[in-house]
Amino acid sequence: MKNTEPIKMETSDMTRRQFMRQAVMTGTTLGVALAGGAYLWERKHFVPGFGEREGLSLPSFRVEPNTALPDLAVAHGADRKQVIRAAVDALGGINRYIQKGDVVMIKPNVAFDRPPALCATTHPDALTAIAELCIEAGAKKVIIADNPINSPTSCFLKSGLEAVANNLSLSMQYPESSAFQSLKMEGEILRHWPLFHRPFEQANKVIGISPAKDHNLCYGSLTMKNWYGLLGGRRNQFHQHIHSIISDFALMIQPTLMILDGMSVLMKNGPTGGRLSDVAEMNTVVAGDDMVAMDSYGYVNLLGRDNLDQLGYVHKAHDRGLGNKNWQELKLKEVTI
Amino acid sequence: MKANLRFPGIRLRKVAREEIPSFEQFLGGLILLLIVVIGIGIYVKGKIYDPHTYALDPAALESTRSEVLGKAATVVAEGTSERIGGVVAAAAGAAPVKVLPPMADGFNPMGDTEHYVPDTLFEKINGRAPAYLAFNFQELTTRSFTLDSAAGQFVDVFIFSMDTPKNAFGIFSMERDGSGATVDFVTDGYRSEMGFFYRQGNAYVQVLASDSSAAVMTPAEAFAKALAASLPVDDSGLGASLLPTKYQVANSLNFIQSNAYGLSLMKDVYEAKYNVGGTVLTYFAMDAGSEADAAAAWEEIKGYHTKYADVQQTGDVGGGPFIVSDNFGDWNVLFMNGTILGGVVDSSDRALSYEFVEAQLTGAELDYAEQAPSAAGEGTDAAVSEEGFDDEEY
Repeated sequence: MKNTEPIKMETSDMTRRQFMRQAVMTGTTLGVALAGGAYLWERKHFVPGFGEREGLSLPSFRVEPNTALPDLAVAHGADRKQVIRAAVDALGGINRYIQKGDVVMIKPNVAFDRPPALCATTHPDALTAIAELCIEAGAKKVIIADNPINSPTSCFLKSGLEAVANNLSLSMQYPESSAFQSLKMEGEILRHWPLFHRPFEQANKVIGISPAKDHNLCYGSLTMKNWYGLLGGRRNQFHQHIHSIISDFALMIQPTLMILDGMSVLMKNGPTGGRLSDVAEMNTVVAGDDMVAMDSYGYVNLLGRDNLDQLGYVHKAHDRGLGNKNWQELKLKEVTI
Repeated sequence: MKANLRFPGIRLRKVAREEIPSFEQFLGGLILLLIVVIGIGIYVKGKIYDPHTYALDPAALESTRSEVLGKAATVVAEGTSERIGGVVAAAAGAAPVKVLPPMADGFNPMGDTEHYVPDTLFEKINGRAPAYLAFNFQELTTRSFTLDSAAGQFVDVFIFSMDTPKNAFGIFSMERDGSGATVDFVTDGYRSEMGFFYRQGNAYVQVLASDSSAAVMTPAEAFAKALAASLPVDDSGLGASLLPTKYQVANSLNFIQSNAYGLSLMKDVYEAKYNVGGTVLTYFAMDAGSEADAAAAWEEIKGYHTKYADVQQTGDVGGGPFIVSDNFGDWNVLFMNGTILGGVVDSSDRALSYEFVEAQLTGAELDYAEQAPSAAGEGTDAAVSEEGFDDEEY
């Protein structure tokens, strides 16, 4: 027989006071938990590749264009320091780029802990020449910064650049963890990534000094490739898309001046080299601020390659309007000393 | 428990419990405590989280500031690598150790021994790493030393351990300095202007001097010799014996791992230059392993030369087929013999190339006087003689 008697809910022995107290405690616990969660939620928490992240971008460090002066200078000669000076003079002199009171960041290529003669890194004489020019122009401070993937101290010491920095009282900035900030840009592949940013917090002018080198993966390490050294993290993962990432550097940074050191060129077994027989004396320095044009020139005329079509990053950057791979179209001044 | 009026037989629990067991209270407290601890942990972790964690170890950086200890974030600490065993013995007969000691007098370590495995090799040589990984790189052991005899100078020692002697020879020969001078303390090695490079067993060793002066190179050589003596000798799997030694130009032996001469079936190819009476020839050989594989590779060779070159002659020599082709003025004399494929490539002298190949296959003795390479050597348009060829002409 069906039981039709209604179910009687058990009455609680809880008093009104007890209920109020428990309700307040529950509410407080929930409130604290929510407040704690909100506090701990790191809006700027950065995980590469995941979601939209905040970050910074670099301003342009270029000077106003001057149509009366050359866009690109090529200097030839035997003495590296003199040739670099001649190249800068051909562009109108260092005062076109550096004024009194400027804080200049110089970005050499110090990727490896190798001696200068092997030409895997920026030559000490090249750094000396540019740093002296900046000092002569009245720069308030000259910063040297790079993020070698190997031991920075060892790289700066063995490359001879630390000695230059000490001799000229330049400010060396090592890539300590706190010196990085998240970069945000709309590159082909580079969008959010840790950038060695501290030097840019002080500098209002940026000069890159790149040795011209053979490169195992991208065929030529020239001016654009030099900026790879500003990235942090496990940046080797970009090697899968090396031409894309290098072309992104032309978007990431517009330096004040670039120096492409082709005095002694690492022609093979790059980017590390290891033998003097890998090096050829080309006695040439290229200066300007169009990295695409400089790389195009350097690949053919310094590395002596006839397959510019292989240098993918030059074409990518050119197609995106980040420079002109047809360097012949630029206003060029060539000097020999 | 009260009776369940809707489902008689099933007893209902009281909804509100009047008392909670002390164990349950303890457990609840413990869980709450755990949540608090986890919360604190997340907070602390979040505070110290740094996306650049893998860029560099700042502690290591500071500690190396004055001493130049080579430390990157993921370098395996000295003596802790478990990837492979020790690579170098401190003394003859001693067990191999992970630490690379000063192998000669007057050397002082600049820092710890560093070890890099395939996942971290890029930290040391960055964009060069793929070239080594292609030859099955296993581990790099490296250390830098200062010299008592040359203040301010240093020597960097790199021991790249590959999986086999063949692959060690492969990367060694790929990076070879053709102008280097052969050294006598190892089978495969040379002295470059600023260092010593050699293959010993499955190790490819580089001893790099900071300067080309005798003050640095002389002790560097002593180190290189002592290190070579401590490394095990192992030439197993090497096929350099496929090539004749007579007339072979010193320091010209090369190993091509794959895709030799643009042909997919040409792999594990040994190649060397030969100075035959002043004319330099490039001769290669490979052991295909089986006659079937050799036949397949031979078909690929013939197909390529038929399509892209001008095959001028075919026939048999030494019991196997051969072809002579003209590739825009460069002569190729190629053969198959059992499982072996070989020949002279890109030669300026057709007759000499044929004679050289024929001698290898028939055992005939060549008798050319030692002579410096002529200006009309390899790659030049020397006169081509067809004398002596009586085989089928195309």
